[in-house]
Amino acid sequence: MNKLKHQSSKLIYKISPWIMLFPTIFVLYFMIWRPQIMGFVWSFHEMNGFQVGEFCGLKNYMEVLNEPAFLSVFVNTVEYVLWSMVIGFVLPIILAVMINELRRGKDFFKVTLYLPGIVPGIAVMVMWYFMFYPDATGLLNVLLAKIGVEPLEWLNDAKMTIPLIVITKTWRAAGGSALLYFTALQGIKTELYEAAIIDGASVVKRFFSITLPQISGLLVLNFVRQIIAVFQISEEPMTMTGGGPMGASMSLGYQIYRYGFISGRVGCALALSVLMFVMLVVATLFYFYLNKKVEENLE
Amino acid sequence: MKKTSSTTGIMNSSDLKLARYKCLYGFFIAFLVIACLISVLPTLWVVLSALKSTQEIYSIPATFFPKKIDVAGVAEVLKDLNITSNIICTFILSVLETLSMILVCGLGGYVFSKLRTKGMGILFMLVVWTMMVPGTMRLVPLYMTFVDFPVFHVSLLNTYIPMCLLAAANSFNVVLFKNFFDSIPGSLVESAQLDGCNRFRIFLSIIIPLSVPAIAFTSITAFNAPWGSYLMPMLVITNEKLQPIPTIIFRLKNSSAMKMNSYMLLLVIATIPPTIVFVFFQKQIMGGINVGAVKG
Repeated sequence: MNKLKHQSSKLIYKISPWIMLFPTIFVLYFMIWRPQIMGFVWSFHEMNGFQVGEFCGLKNYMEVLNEPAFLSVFVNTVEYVLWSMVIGFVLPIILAVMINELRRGKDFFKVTLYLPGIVPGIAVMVMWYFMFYPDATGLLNVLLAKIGVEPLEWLNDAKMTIPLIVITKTWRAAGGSALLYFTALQGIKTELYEAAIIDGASVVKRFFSITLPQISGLLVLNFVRQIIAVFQISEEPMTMTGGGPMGASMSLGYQIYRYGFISGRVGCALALSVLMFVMLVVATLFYFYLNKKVEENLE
Repeated sequence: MKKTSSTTGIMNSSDLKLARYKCLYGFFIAFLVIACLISVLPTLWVVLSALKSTQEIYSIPATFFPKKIDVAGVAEVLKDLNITSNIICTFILSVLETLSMILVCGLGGYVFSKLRTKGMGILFMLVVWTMMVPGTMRLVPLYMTFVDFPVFHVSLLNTYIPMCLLAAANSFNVVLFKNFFDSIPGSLVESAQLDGCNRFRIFLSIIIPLSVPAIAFTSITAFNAPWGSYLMPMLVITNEKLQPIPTIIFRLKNSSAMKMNSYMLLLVIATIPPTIVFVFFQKQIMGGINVGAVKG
């Protein structure tokens, strides 16, 4: 009897890690792995509402690719990424380098620049939507009126809408990214700078030959992370422009939502999801390639 | 912070004696001050607008500061919004999401760190790979999962379970916890084992108290998330009384019956809880970002 008890407690001891791991595996399976795989499988099926129907090969994919707007939506998405490189990627680096140079007040600037990050995402989008409001009540038009400039169309201007959405995104995230870079900059050994000063390197030279290479790993990581994140942009256009004007701010991510939950073309939503996934896998592979290059350069 | 000549900056104190670097330094300060103004002013505008009367907010020329702050008027607007139940629901959602995230990711990280047995190496690799898998692609399959949850065949619509499951399915936090637990000496766990603690109790009474920094960082993020994300709750919860504040914000954006000042008040309400969290946990938030950065 005692032996049996001993054996069973030994068994419990042996499988207890698996029991404790079960919740993690359960949620990852049902929330990430299964939807990912089933999304792929279902994209080859006829969808009746949210019910999976017959296998239909590449029909959904053809429908997505033959959509006249597909190319322009894709180009828009790339445009989002490019603008976010110009605005969103560079600005935090500049801020961090500048804060790092300060002799006093570092903490003040760090905290103040981080403040927009506290405002919830949806509030930021709507807030900027109203600041960009195209009539005389929008904050920015009020300011323009003060200096005697005619009100602008802001988000309703097809040329400006994507950069403005990127600015909104950057406004919220720049402080947080700047903090990251700042920590990395603080980690650079002072001896490196001292040696460079002894060698007579100018300030500009020190920046390009010490500062940038020392944080290049983080830069590459954030660069690729940002490409991947911005490529999936959907909530911002959904909230701020509804994809307009005339589809000028439509993105692939928002198109998935529209297919799935507005126009009821669930099959198309799934197919487009898979297409986007493939594009992002390519981007991730590119990251590994870049990362390897950077590491080789450092050695 | 060191204030001696050996700063980590690019310019040292002898550079700063030169006129052109003095100018550059001045330019940096000016740039940063402007950046700070841009960071603060929009939010300030929203807060001030929320305090204005309906009459004032539509007056032309528009004002920046409210002419007078009428607390009773604001309270009236708040009452008209009729969102008390939604505020409470968002709080409940925040707490539930945070708890499920800590429990699931914490346990997972604990097992991967301290109780690794055969076969778990591959699983951990999978978890690490999961961090890379982009999320937008799962939107539709996830919704289908919630309409008819596999195996159990129940609909999870109009419950908070989907959001809790999604908060718990955070591979990044599993890895973060695992890395954190790796720094806790194994001898502590072993001595507790000798004292006859079972593994779950060791987790609760030894590991959790030692992991306050990791828990603080991850729970702050988890707690704040429901105040900013609207999409999944909007799809899953159709009962308006149960919808969290962000979904209400999204839904009412184009409502013509909505007055600007009451709408701005809604934005302020969504911002208050994360702000309180920031005020109390500023150190953890600003330091926690580095916790995430080191392992990225």
